[in-house]
Amino acid sequence: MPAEKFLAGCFSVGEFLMNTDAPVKIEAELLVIGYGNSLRRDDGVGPRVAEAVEELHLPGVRTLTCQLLTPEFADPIARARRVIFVDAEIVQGSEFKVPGSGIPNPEPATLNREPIRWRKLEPGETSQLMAHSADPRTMLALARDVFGHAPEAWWLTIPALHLGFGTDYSPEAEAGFHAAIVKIKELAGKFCGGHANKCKAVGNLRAVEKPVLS
Amino acid sequence: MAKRIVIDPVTRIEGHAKISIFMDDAGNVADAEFHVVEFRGFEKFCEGRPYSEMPGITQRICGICPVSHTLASAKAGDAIMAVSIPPAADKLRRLLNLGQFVQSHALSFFHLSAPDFLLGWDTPPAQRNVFGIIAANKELARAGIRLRQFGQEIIEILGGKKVHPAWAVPGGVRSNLSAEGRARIKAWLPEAYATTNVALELWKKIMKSHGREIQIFGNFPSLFMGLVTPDGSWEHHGGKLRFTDSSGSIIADQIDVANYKDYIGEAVQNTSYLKSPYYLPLGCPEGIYRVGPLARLNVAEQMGVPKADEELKKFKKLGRGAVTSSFLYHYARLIEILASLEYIERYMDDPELSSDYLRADAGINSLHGVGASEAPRGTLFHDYTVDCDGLLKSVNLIVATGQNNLAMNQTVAQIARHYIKGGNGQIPEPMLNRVEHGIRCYDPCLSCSTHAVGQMPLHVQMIAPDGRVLDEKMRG
Repeated sequence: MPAEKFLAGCFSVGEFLMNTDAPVKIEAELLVIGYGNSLRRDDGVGPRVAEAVEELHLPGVRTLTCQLLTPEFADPIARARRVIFVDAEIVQGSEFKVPGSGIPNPEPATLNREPIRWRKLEPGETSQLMAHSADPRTMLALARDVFGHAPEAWWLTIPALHLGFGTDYSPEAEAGFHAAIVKIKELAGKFCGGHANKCKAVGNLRAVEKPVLS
Repeated sequence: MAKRIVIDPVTRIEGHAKISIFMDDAGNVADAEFHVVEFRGFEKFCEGRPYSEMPGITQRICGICPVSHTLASAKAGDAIMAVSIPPAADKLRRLLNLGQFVQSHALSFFHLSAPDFLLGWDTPPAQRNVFGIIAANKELARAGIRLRQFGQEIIEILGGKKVHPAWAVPGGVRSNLSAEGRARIKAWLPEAYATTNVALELWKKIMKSHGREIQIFGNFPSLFMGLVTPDGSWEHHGGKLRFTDSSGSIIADQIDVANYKDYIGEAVQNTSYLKSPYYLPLGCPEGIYRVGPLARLNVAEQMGVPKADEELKKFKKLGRGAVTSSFLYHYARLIEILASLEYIERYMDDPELSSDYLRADAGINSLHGVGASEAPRGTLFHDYTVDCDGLLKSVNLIVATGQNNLAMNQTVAQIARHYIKGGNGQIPEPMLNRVEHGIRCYDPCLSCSTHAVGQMPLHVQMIAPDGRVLDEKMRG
């Protein structure tokens, strides 16, 4: 039996569920989502950027941090006018040694690139929603198809050279962190009323590291 | 000539795995193995760290079930301090765990598993996903996302963030439930109930049309293990261990989690980083047992809340003694969501969750501590040995996916036997999709079980008795 027919007669959450056809209420001019594993050195730079942006209290800007992009993020994404996804990007030849794995370190990376990459994103509805994590394009497609609005979006990636266990960052990731903050402030200033550039300067990447538990 | 089939990778589960199907000389399936080929080694590198850091460190094992690790770890810390935590802290930890059950089970049912049984087993993998569900019924897709969001919201309200909240600590928790948080949870409950009831109705239709899957997706006798209360009710954070067999008889009961090593042995395969725990008195592999929703509902005599108790009665009628089909893990998950909502609702009227007395304080009073908690996928053990300064000398983690390892092997073999009879040395496409789902019934989290990182693609190999790979398929 086709799924549409199978599901047709049995589903009605009725009054309890938000109207799927209601217009989306925009709650943020700019949403910054930083994702990655904060215990895998450079992979944690995305969440760290989002935390630093949060500390700036930019008007109209909201932030989210997470280890993985998961389906429920489609809801806040749909309620933003614009979204920046901030992620670490593995550079070819990165040190990717897992302690105890016996996997040798590859040759050191040869870098010839900008501290950040900046790409426009479009919804990617054909992307597989893998496991519990998703590509940002998939999240945009989910936001559009399920919650009714896919915001204008960009993907800001920062080079990741060291992905072993730890909470410190490579010089390249640190440079990318600062470049990312400048870029996000610039965009916030453009789209959120021009207040962003008056905000306080962001702290040093390492200096804001917090212990796991106190 | 005997052959071997290997499936690698398995999609829509966490981590990276490979499936080998071993063929006999007649071209029939002799056996199957589920291998996990990634390694992270939290047990080793945590040595030397203070035990008090462990709730924060071990929750990084996984981005999906950090709550389970932080709670089991905090419990092990309680045991090292030899304290009884304040009643409010115990209730708040339970509320956090219930939020975790809702979000994890909702993800498993609506997003990872429903595309298979709603869109059809033979739909191409590129279409057999949540976008297929959206195309078929947008409201269902949205309800599923929002149900998971509700569970995540509880975690964020209590822990301050959805993933890796540094909130549960040895001796208690860091903060209580705010009035605003209580109001947000209460306001969302009616929608969460409505979605769960619809999913249960939907599941009953699915069961009517999936008799064959119930018969062949991991339907075999085994033991079952889970935590229960002193009166044998469903338990998720606290209580004692109970083992039952496939006739439903209790074979070991009210076992203190600190004594788990008297009942659970750990076997290893040289082809996998996944450990294979077994019921020690029966040895391996005869001591095969299952954990998780199916097992918890088999070992529990009642859920302790009315709506879920009604569903439990219907569930138990599906088996003679125990319910033995792993396809019914999905039904068990929905019943556990319903029970979780009922317990959450009870807590919303409990003033103790606003208490400020949240932490017991003590030094090192025991050099060994075991904490156990029910994670959505099954019972999770954290076992720590410390020195007099509280620095870890050894760490042993037993996670749900490992405990289901032997059962997953049997499930793959059972499905493969149904689809390969005197085969031609090639992997049949219909079998591939169903083997994937057979694994997915257990909702395995390979990040936890091997402390591995990353997504889980699928690699299947068909292997002859002489070790030759006759056929292989890759996905993801």
